[in-house]
Amino acid sequence: MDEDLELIERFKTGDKTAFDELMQRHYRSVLNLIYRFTGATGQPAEDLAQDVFLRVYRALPRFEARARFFTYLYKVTMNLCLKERARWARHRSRTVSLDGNWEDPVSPGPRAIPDPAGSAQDRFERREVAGEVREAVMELPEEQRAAVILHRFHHLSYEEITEVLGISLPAVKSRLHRAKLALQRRLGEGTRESLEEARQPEAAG
Amino acid sequence: MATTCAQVEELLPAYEDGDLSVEETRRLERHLQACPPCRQGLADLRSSWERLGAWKDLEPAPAWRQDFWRNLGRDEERRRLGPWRFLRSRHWASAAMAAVLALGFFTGTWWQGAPVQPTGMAASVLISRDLAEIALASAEPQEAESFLLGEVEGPFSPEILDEALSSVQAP
Ligand SMILES: [Zn+2]
Repeated sequence: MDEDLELIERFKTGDKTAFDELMQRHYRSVLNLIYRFTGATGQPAEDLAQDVFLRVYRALPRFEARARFFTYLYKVTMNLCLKERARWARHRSRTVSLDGNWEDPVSPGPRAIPDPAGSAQDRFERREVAGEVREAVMELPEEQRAAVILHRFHHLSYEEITEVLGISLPAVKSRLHRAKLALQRRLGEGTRESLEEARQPEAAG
Repeated sequence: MATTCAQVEELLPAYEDGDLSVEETRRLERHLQACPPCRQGLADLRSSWERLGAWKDLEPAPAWRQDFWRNLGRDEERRRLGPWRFLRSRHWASAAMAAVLALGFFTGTWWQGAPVQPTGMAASVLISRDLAEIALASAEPQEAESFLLGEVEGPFSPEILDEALSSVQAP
C-alpha cells in the first residue's frame, strides 16, 4: 500500500494528523499546478489551494482507492481552477480593472523562488528565460497547457494524465505533441525563418 | 513515398515517444541524416522542452498549514450554523441587528426597545428588518432553535433566549 493510502486510512479512523501529513506531501505541487495552469500567484493562488484541500478533507472519508490519490487530487485541483477561472473572468469583465494576479505571464510572481546567487547579469538572463518560458506555456491552448504542466512539471505519465484530465491516451499524446511543436517554434534555438530557408523542399527518403 | 521536411517536423514528437512504426522510424531517420535543418528541429524540440525547467516553483506561504486548519475551523462553523452563518460575518453590527429583530419576530413582540435589552446593542438596531426577514425565511426550524439555544454566539442573555425558545416550541 502506498504512503498516501496509509495516511488516508489513518485519517478515516479520525486521525487528523494524518491529513496534515498528506497535505505536507502535496500542498506545494497543488499550489504550483494552480500557479502554472491559471497564472494566479499570491493570495488568489493560496486561496485556491486551500479550497482544494478543504474539499478533499470533506470528500476523503468516501475516497476509494481505485486511483492513486494524487491523480484524484490533481483532478479536483484542475476542476476548481476551471471553475474559479470562469468566476474571475466574469468578475474581471464586470470591473474592467486587472488585479495582476490572473493570467499575467510576464511579471514574475511575488513569491517566485529567488534565483540562487550569481552575478546580476546571470540573474537577469535567468529571469528573462523564465519569463519567456512562462509566456510560451501560457500561450498554449488550455487543454494543451494542462497536459504540458502535468507531464513536464509534475512528472505524470501519459496514463496518469488520462486519469486527471479524463481523456483518452491518444488525446493526451496528441495534445502533448502539438504543444511540443508549438514550444519548439517559440523556444527553439534555430529560428523558424532560418530553418525554412535552409530546408530542402523535399529530401530523399 | 517521399518524406518532406514538414512531414518530418510533424512526426518528431511521436518519434521521440517511440510511437512510430518501424518503417516510419526508418524513413524519418534517413531523412534526418540527410537534412541538417530537421536535425536542428529535433534538437530544438528537446532543448525547448528542457528549457521549461527555467520556470521555477512558487514557494507556499509560510503559514499555509495554520491557514488551512483555521479555514477548516471556519468552514465547520459555517456548516454548523447553516443559513445563520451571515450572523457571524465581519459586519457584526448588522448581523446583531438582524439577530435581535429575528428574536423579536419569534417572540411576537416586535422590537420596541422595551423588553429586550441586550447589552451593547445601541439604538442603531432599528432598520434591519429586511435582513431579519431574510434570515427567518432561509432558516430551518432546527437551525432557528439552535440559534436561540445559544449555540450561536450573540449578545443575548439566557433569559431572553429561553423566552424566545419557549415561544417557538409552543406556538
Ligand atoms: Zn528536413
